[in-house]
Amino acid sequence: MNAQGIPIIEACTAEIRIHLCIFIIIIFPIVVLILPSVLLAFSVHFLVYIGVEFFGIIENAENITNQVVDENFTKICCLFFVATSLLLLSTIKDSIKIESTNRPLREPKGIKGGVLINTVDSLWKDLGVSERPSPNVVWFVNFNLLAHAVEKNKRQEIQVSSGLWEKIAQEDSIANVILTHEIAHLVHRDPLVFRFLNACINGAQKNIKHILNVCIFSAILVLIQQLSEDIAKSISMLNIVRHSIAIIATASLVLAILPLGEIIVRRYIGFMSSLMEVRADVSAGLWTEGLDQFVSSLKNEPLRRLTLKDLIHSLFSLDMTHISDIERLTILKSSDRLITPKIRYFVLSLSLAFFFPLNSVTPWLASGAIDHLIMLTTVVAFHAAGISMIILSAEAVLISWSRSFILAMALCASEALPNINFGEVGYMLTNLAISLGNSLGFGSEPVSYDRITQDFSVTMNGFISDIKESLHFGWFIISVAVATFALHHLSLVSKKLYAKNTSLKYQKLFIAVGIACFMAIISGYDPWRNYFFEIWPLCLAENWFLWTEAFPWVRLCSPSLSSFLMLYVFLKCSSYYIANPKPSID
Amino acid sequence: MKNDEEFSVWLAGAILNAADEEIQDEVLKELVKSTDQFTNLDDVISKNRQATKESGDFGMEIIGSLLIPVLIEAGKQLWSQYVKKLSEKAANQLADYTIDQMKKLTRDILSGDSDLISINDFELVFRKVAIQEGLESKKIDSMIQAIRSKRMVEKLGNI
Repeated sequence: MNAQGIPIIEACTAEIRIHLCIFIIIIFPIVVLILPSVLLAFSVHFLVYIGVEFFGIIENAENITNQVVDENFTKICCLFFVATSLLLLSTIKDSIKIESTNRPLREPKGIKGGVLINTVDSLWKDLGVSERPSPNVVWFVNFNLLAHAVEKNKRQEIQVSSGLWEKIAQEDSIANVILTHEIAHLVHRDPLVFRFLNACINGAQKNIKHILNVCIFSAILVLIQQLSEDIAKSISMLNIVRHSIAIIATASLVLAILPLGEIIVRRYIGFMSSLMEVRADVSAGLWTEGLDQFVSSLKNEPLRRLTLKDLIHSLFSLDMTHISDIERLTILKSSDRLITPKIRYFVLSLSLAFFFPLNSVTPWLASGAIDHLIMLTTVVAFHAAGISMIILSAEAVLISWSRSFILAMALCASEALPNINFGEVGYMLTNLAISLGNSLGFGSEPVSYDRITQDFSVTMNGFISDIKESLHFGWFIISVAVATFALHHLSLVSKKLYAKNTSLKYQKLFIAVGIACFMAIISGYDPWRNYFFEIWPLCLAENWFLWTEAFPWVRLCSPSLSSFLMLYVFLKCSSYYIANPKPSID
Repeated sequence: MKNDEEFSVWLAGAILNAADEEIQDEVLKELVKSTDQFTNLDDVISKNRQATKESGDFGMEIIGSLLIPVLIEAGKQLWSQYVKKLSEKAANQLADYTIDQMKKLTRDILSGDSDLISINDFELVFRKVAIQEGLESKKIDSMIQAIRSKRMVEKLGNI
């Protein structure tokens, strides 16, 4: 392999690992375990209240619910957290064992079978990228050129379709392209990760489904209880209908976090899967005759034209595994796009985190701190991926000014998102839903068309004002300009730094990325949702906001700028120590 | 399996053997194994023309050789032609034709002993289907060569 290829593959790997870490440590536990546990605890509150009323102890229902549930709410949440975690782990463990595909697989036989086995074997040895024994090869019937890499019981295997087997026997160049892509998956141990991620989706879907069923059951009981109260009080039919709509609407807004959570999980996993596919392409290209040749071999095949449906699938699908064919080739031909985050495919994940507060629960939990955590984490992942990819790939490829500009715009815009609280819209919708059931309306005024439009107008104006303030309006372009400069020079400085001295390469990387992440976190500080900012060093965020009050636009570009400055300092120190070496003890 | 499908499979197997298409012959055997009372051959072939995308796959929709679908379809069209010609010959009297009768007819055609259908007509059916399916001309020519070879007649006799 061309030595230049290693930094690019490292950059792709960094992007994948960063997103995996953020997803497994923060996002997945929050949306699949913590928030559903809170919902279950709420359900217990209602079930206890209704149960107590049912047994005729109406006057004590509120006290009993308060003593049994509300005062022990945190403990009940923790209990449900443990229970749902165990259920989830069990589902994940079972799902990992299941084969993802049920194609009947066959051992290759005969002369052509020997050709297949020998081709894979010699390709594996020629690439010389792994000391592991060459993978087992099996085939399945399909007329298309398909291949699948798996790892089971520590034995790696490549499954090829009969269509591909035919091409391998004919020594067609496309066969080598596909086989090296699969070998790349095996070298990077992707099959294990794919299995784990698919098991996470399975586990999340089952968990959320069960919890949703329990919560819907509670909501139905609440509805029945309200209906029976209304009927007992001989309330008018119009008010009965209004109360029912209010309960259904509010319950829907409360329970929305469960399907929203599932959507976030599926899209994030789909995004990470597609990153691993891109890395396999990059590896396969760089380990053989180069990316240009790799792309040419693919372009010679009759590929489907890119349709709007393909584009929509890549940008919005929850079951994405691969970017569309033409887009894939476009990325592979552009070194700029290879060494920087795949922005357009990450936009949906950022958007989902942004719109997550559109429910009736999380904006109230620690004043919306969990919403803020999800948004901030996603933004930090974006910054970490961008900075580390530029640093790691600098030995081989320098980022261009145009790509620096695009990335700078995306990073600065994303940095503004944690300061915009979409929970205000969720709050408005929740209150409108509740006010349907309250004949006095929201607050002390009756519900009316004018009241609704006024609430909507006030909320939207506040929301738009938040956006303008967070983007610092006209100063946004200055942030982008500074970030563009910082990112481009980060690439230059990294190249110079590692050309001089490759020792402590990864330590320097971690420090630069670490400081970028820290700046991204404190720049995303929201004084209204600052629950997690009480601990040191995050409490410095308040000071940071005070120091930058006169020029708030600095906050948006501070992660890029700080990482560039850190590496610049390392470069200067490195130059100094090379020019002034320590005298030897002799 | 219906008669025309069974006939098509037999004929396709013979052609593939004559042409030394080892891989395609294996595929044909697997396809036949997949058919049962709930799934017919058309459905099985249709299913295997679809490209699926899972994590870990190559993920690009690149169509490979459609030789087997071509042979099966050509076989069915030949069966229809045989039935038509035989019915015309029998003054349009309806009759059930067995697979063994059709196999014998095919052997006669390919060894030049039939005046009902010529080997050129046989070739024409195959070419028409192959061109419709977009089979490479190189592959079409090699299949025609196999069909016209002595080996083909031997293979038909063996099956």
